[in-house]
Order: sequence, then C-alpha cells, then structure tokens
Amino acid sequence: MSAPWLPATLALFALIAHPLWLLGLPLPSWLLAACGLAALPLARRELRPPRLGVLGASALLLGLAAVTWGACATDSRVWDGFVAWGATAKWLALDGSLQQPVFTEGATYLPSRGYPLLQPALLAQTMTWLGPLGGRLLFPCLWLSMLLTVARTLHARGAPPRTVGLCVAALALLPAMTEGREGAADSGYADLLVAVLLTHAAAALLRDRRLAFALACLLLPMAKNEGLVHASVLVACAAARGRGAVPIAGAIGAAVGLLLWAPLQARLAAPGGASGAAWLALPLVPVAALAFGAGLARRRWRLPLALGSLAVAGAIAACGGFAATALGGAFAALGRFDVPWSELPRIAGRVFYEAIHPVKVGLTFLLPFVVAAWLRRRGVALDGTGALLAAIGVALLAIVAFVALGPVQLRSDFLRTGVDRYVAQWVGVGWLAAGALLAHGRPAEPELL
Amino acid sequence: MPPIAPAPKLASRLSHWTGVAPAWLAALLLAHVAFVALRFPQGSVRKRGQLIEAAQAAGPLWHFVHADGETKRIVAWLVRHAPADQAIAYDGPGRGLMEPLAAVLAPRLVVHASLVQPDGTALGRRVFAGHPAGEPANGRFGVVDATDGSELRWALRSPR
Repeated sequence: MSAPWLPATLALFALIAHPLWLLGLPLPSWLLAACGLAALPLARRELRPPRLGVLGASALLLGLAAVTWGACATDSRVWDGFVAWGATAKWLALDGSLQQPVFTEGATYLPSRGYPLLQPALLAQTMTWLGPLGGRLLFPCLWLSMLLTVARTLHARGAPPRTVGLCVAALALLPAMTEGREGAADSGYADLLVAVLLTHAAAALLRDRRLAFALACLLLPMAKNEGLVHASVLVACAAARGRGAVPIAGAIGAAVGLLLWAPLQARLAAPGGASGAAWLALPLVPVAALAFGAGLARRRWRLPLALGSLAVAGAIAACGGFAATALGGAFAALGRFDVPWSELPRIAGRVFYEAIHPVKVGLTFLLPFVVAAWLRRRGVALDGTGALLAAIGVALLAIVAFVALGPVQLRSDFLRTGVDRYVAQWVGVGWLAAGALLAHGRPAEPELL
Repeated sequence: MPPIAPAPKLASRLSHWTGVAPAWLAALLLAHVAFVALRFPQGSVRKRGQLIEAAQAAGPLWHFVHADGETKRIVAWLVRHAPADQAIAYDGPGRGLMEPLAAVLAPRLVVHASLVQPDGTALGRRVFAGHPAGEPANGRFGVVDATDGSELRWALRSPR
C-alpha cells in the first residue's frame, strides 16, 4: 500500500499536531521535516518525476517561477492571506502552541478565530526554518504537487505524453492560480491547499487507491471549513460509482479528521466557553454521504438510505455543529429550511458564470463535460471519470447552497470575492477529468499505406 | 515502387500531434492552452511585478494604501514604537482596518479597551501608552479608535 508523498506527509503532521494541541502541548519545530522523512517509505513509487514533454515542462517551470516570485517577494498582498491565514501562522511560529493568550483569551483580537489550523501550522513550521518570506516557499511546493499529481495520474491512465503535457500546461498557466488575485497560489489563502487535496483525492479515486483517498479526505476538513463538504461530496460520488473499499476509506478518513479538528475548533472559536458536544455530530456527515452514495448505487436501497442520510443531515443541522462559522450558519438555515428563493437565480448565475469565466478558468470545467457528452454519444463508458464530473457538478450546487444559506450580511462579499475562489478549488480535478476523458478518445496509431 | 502515403490533413495532424481525437476536441484543448499562454506575460508577470513593486514600497502600510493619511501615520508610528511585549488597546466593532492592523502588529496582543485594568494592564501585559505627538500619558493608556472601520484614530484614555 502506498500513497503520494505530500498527503502522506501532511496527514502524519496533522495526526500528530492536533492531538498535541488538544493536550495543550506545543509543536516541535522539526515536526514537519520529520513527517516528510517518515512518509518517504510510503511514497517510494511516487517520487520519480513524470515525463511532461517540452511544452508541459516549460509551462510548469514558467508557472512555478511566477508563483515562487509572487509568494516570496513580500508578505501576503491579499487581504485574508495577510489578516487571517498569515497572522495565525505568525502566532503559531512563536512557539507552536495554542496556549498563548491570543488563542486562549476570547477578548484578544484575532479575526481568524476558529479557522482551521493546518495551513497556518505548516507555514509556521517552514517560517521557523526558512524565515518569514522563505517559509512562503510552502505555496509553490503545494502548487507543484498539484501539477505533478495530474501528470502522474494521467500517465497511469494511459494518456499519450503530449496530451499529458498539454493538460499540465493548461493547468500550470491558469490565471485563477497563477495571477495574484484572492485565492491564487501565492495569495496565502488556504484555497490552494484545498485545491491540492482535492486533486490528490480525485487522483486516488481514478486509480482506486484507498489509503491516498483516505488521507486526502482526512486533511480536507482540517484545511478549510468547506473541506467537510468537499470530502462528503467525493465520498458520496465514489460510493455511487459502486467501488466499495475506496469510499469507505474516504468516509473513515474524513470522520477521523473531523474527530480531531472539530473539538479543537469548538475550543478555539469560543475560548473558555462551554462548547457543548454539537461537534460530535460532524463526523457523521461523511458517513451519511457514504450511505447516500451507496444507496444511489443499489436500486433496492435507494429510498431507505436516501431518507436515512437526509435524517442524519437534518439532525446535524439541528444540533448546531460548526455554529461559529459561516458554514455552520448555512447548515442551521438548511435545518430551518430558510431558503432565500428569490436570490437563488442570481447566486446560481454567478456560480456558473465563474465556472466558465474565460479569463479565470478558461475551458477547465467546460471541456471535461463536452468530452464526456461526446464519449457518451459514442457509447463509451466514462469509467471512474464520471464520479469526478458528478463531484464537480455537486460541488457547484453546494457553492450555490452555501452562498444562499450562509449569513445574509456576507452574501455580497461571497458573491464578489468568494465564489470564484470556491470554484477555482476544483481546477486540478477539472484538468484531471479532462485529461482522463481525452485519453479515452485518443486516436489510433497512424497507419502508412 | 512502394505506394506513397497521402499528406495528412490538418485535422488528423492536429489529432496526431496532441494525442486527442477528434480534431475539434484537440482544437479546444489547444485554444485553452494558447489563451492562457498568451495571457501569462501580462497577467502573471507584468501585473504581478507592478504589485510586488508597490507592496515593497509601501512596506507594512500596504493594506492601508486606500486609508486616509492620519490612519497611515498612526499605523506606521505603532509599528515603529509599540514594544513587542506590550498590548495595544482598541475600541469599536473590530471590522475593516482593524483586521490588517492586528496582523501588522503581531506578536503584540491587541485587546479591547474595556479589558484594561486600573493599573494600565490587560491580560497581564502593560498596555501601550505612547502618543505620536509626544503628549504625556499621565496614567492614561492609548487606544486605537476603530469605531468606523474605514479609519483609525489614536487617543489617550483613563482606565475605568
């Protein structure tokens, strides 16, 4: 059993860091380096660089140079990257502990109170070793991991080298990631980490790799609040595809991730207050998603499983888990069925516009659906790639639901600077799906007369 | 004499070169790659270079570039003069420009003015009591007035 090096390293780090924080202990500054070394045996088959051809390699180097320059030239130049994610990393870099007044005293000012700690902790570790700007090399490393995962997975799926090179070039130069706006690779936002984890999860799904899928699903809720939704969507789509062990591994991974992160988040969001046990319901979300997907795959189970998982989701919404976050607010509104129907067309229009925005994502999300439609018309089965398309589609609907049900006072902010970031989290999955589908319809070897 | 292969048409060349069939799908893929490649020098290099240059010139005031002059003066003064082991008090709802102020002042603690004790401390730390114009504190503490969120002001207050 093997797993890619990056998610294996991050999972080891998260599995040690969160219990240490729960016990009130600081993280040693060498923890990330030690986890990287410890993950090497798991990843021994994943360390060879994939062949990209001249075009793919050139685009990758250009993109990498731009992202590295942008990340390391200054501190984050974009609002949330500086005031939320970066500021938390600076506090954690002091001694790696959550026992500092800024975390333990609710009266201190911290705009990112209750935000997930995976990225700030990783950045704090790299900053300790490489300095405040050098530590930001974390971001180009994460971005590179996304590109190499796409290349490696497409090679493994039998895509021709030139197709792989073109897909890598298409992703490497994508404005949503390489231009320095909110959520871009060098912005300091956690959207890049989510995009990387989603790409690893999608690659694991395409290659039927349980451990890699479980690790990516474990890390998603620790990276950003919406990671819980992403992991659940992927688990449900994998289960609906009908391959037993992989979605079960994903549901277990996500549940373990939530069991470690949710109590810590409850403590951080309301320091000293009674956090209650609402968070205990959250690990049931991916399990309900697994049941829902499995029910879709088996005709006889469809109705009972769909109703059962909806009941679980309703109970979670009613008990108020994640209450301190915008996502928790959306859950609560869903529980009350408090849907702003008149706003839905505007929100849905915005989300789908961002998914086809030529200057941000180009054909990233359009191309895989066009190729899939063409293949289906020719009677070609989509194999595992159908699950990725379903996940992208459900994720877009989830963004619509989140913006509609989230806090009203934040809706215009989400529409202006949030929706494009949430959509861009799926760009790696988009190019993975596009490349895998294009490989289905590759031309036969040319014959000379 | 062996038969000579006919010259492949553009469509089949496109498919063969990209490894993608049919040719219109190959053309879509190439169109995307060409578009992002053409945009790269302007969007990812030139614009980024301008932003980096501006951010390096602004230094810690980068996130306050649209703020008024007094706000910028207070931020620059606090960054230069507030000791790292002291707390900075603020008043107001804590939105807007308070967010980058707290980040730029880290690792100094930022606490609400209501927490300041009669002895001029909060959460066990001395609260910064300087004044940009050199006005003596006389037992008062300094507070960032962020009531508006779009501008920051500095005042000296007496502890309750």
